[in-house]
Amino acid sequence: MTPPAVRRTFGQVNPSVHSLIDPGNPSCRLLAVGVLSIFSAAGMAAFELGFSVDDIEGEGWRADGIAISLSEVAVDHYAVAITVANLVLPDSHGTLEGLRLECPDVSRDGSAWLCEHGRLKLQASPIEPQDATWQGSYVDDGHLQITIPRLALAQGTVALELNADDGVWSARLQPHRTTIARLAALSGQLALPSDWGIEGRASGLVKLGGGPAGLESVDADLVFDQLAYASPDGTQAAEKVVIKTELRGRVRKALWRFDATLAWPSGAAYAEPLFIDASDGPVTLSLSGSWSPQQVRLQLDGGSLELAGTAAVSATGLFQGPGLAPKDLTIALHSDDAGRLYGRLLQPFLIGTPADDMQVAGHVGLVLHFDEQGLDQAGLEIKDLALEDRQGRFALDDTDGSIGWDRSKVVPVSRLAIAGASIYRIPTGAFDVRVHFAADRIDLVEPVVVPVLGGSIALDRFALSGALIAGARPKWEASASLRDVSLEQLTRTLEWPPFNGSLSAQLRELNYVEGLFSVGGGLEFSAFGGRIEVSGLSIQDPLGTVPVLKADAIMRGLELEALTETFAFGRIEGRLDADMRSIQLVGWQPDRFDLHLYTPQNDDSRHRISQRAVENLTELGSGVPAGLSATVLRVFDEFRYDRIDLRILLQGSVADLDGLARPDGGYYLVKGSGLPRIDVIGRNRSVAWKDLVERLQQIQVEGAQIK
Amino acid sequence: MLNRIIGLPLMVLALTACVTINIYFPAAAAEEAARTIVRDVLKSEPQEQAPPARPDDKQSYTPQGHPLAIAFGVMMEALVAPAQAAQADININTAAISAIRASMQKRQSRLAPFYRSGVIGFDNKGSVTIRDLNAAALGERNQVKKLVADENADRAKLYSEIARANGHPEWEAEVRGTFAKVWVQEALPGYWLQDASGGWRQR
Repeated sequence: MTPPAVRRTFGQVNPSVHSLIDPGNPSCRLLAVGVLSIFSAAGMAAFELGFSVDDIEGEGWRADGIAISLSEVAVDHYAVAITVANLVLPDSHGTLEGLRLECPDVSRDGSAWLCEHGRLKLQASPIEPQDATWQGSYVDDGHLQITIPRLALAQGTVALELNADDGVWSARLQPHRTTIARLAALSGQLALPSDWGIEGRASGLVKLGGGPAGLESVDADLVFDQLAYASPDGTQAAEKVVIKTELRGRVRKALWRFDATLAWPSGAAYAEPLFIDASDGPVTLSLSGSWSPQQVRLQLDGGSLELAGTAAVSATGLFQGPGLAPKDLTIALHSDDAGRLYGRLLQPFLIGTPADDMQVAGHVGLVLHFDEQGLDQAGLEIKDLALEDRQGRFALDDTDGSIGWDRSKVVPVSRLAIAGASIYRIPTGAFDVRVHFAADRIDLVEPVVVPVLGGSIALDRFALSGALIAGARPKWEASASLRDVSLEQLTRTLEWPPFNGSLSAQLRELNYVEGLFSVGGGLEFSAFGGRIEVSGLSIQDPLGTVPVLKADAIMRGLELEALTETFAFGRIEGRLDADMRSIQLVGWQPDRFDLHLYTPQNDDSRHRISQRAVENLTELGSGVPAGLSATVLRVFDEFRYDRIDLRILLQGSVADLDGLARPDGGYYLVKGSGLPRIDVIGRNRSVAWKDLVERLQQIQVEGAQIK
Repeated sequence: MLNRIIGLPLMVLALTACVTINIYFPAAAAEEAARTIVRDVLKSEPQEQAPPARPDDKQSYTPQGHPLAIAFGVMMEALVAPAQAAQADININTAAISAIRASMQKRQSRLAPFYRSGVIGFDNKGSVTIRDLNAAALGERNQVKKLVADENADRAKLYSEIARANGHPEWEAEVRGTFAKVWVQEALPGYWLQDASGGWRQR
């Protein structure tokens, strides 16, 4: 360190001591002390001594306008005053202006020097202007004690007490309502964002202890209150937060051992996407462990985070190296209120996904282990877990079980016992799931049989991949079989017109990739005395706002009697085949299809259409009777027909219609037979879809002919 | 006979002419359709008096039922006298569009307070943007984020569905641009709007 340099000095000593010190002589302070000692030793009854220095400069600091005065006010009682006009502090800590340190009565008591009523004044300083009292003592054996009861600091106050004895020292600081932003600025170490409008105060007690080697112990009990901030983009904010901290730290052989607790009893904070309001349950964090600054190594022996009423988290681990990356970290979470866990901690991360609006209940336990490569083991225990999509798309009833996962090795089978589930209001019975979780895959150990609508779905194979690795796109594939699923229950559940029959199908190659669910095989089921086959089924974005379903279907040998009874249009007898290609439902509503309904070739069944069917259809359409009852036709309950044939090509909003061609340009929808004969003839080839359905109320019978 | 006299030359013309048809984006019709939808959504705000819907606004039909039921209904409907197909220049009468409109209408009353407080606004790209999250209470911020995410998902789907329903998926950008303009034009008093240069103003 470069010794201080005195550029220009002059002194004035009374009586008759005059000293001129050469510019650049670094020994000026020694000379002054030497003069004081001489007079003290001489035991003069009274004296007055003073000298001044224009400026003095060291490495990084500089003082000017220095004046020191010393006078004996009584035997062994002295008055001392030191003034410095400007003192530029090192390391850019600012400038002290108008410094005056004085003690009107420094007394000698045995081997001790005492000052009971010292004063410290600063006209300006980086901290605050100061006008404080102080008290101090110095014993010849080297024990120094200084107390400043009240120093202005960061718009609050701080009380200081310093003790030093032969290299061992301790300090006691009691900040009171000091503003955090100002403290951070003064520290020069803690860079807080300048545009966050950070407010808040710190109060409490900090005790520091040390020796010649430096700091050795820290005990801090601090309360931060009225804490508030808001980042300009609104993603980070806090209001009226109170934080209580306790920190105990001891160093031994360059290793700090620490215990710390942080309690957050009131106030709210938002750190996108998490919102924590302590009024929902206070937050408490405690940490204990050791810290080696030399090795950049943090050993966490015990960590716990308690979100009252929501979850408790504990952790142990080792962090080392730049950025304190985890080398070995275990985190365990337990919650007896999965609903609050979801609402407070999970849902915010799920916004924009189908899982962001659920009602959740139950108990959850989770253990995660991280190594240098990241997450390598996970275990989940759930009990009575139930979740329900508030939009009614899916639900899971009480579920118990455990799930284990390991990044690189086989782990025990995971088991889930599910009391029931539903998807789009279709409920299931209870079922069990046994799966293997490994790496980024989930595989079934055994088929899962799900009771549903009087029958069952057996999930023979299921493999999920990409769901457990960040950044990977999840996809799953499966195969399943449907057995004896009741169409009557299904249609009633979906509030459709009731079908009779049951549904059995082999669903091969079920896939879900990038939002597209597809079925490689086909569904085949029986309904209305006939057979229906659905193939090419796929659903894009099945849980989105507008799912898009595509499929093809063929229907063979449907009994029109059952069909028409179902729809209450009046009885029509006969069989019906249908080819339905390129079905597209958008938002579960028809958007496109190519439908051909027709009487099968060689159908030898009885072909009849009842007058009631005609009347109902007519009344449904026009709101008035068809008029058959006013004609001679009223005497007939039913009419024979030869064929039914109808083609509908729906494309967006327009449906193109066709049937059996007629020479006059129209087409038969129902070609009559026998006597009396009714031909139902269509003439319009193109109909607006919305009108088509609306005009079910405008049905007319055309071409009623009696031959 | 008269038809044949007139029709024959037309048929000859049709058979011999080589006609190139360019399909241009029907800007005026699209704007009209957008205005219908936007007004319909904005009037879902209960406290606010939205501009009255136009007399010809009858485009809110939602067909119900599953394919079999509808197919059967269609068959019955076909008993009918010819109905004139109504093919508008821009069709907004599909099931998907109706579903999206219903979803947006349902959400509007929850969005409205945040439009007025300046938390969110209509941006110049036909979406809703968070413009001042600090204007929302801390506990409301995730709610705002969810509302905006859901609304923008619906709007994006709406624009693509309109383009698709009209047989021109490539019109999506034009549809979005049209809506961007109309949302701003139809915004209710107090709403915040983004101009072309990215600046915000309050109506």
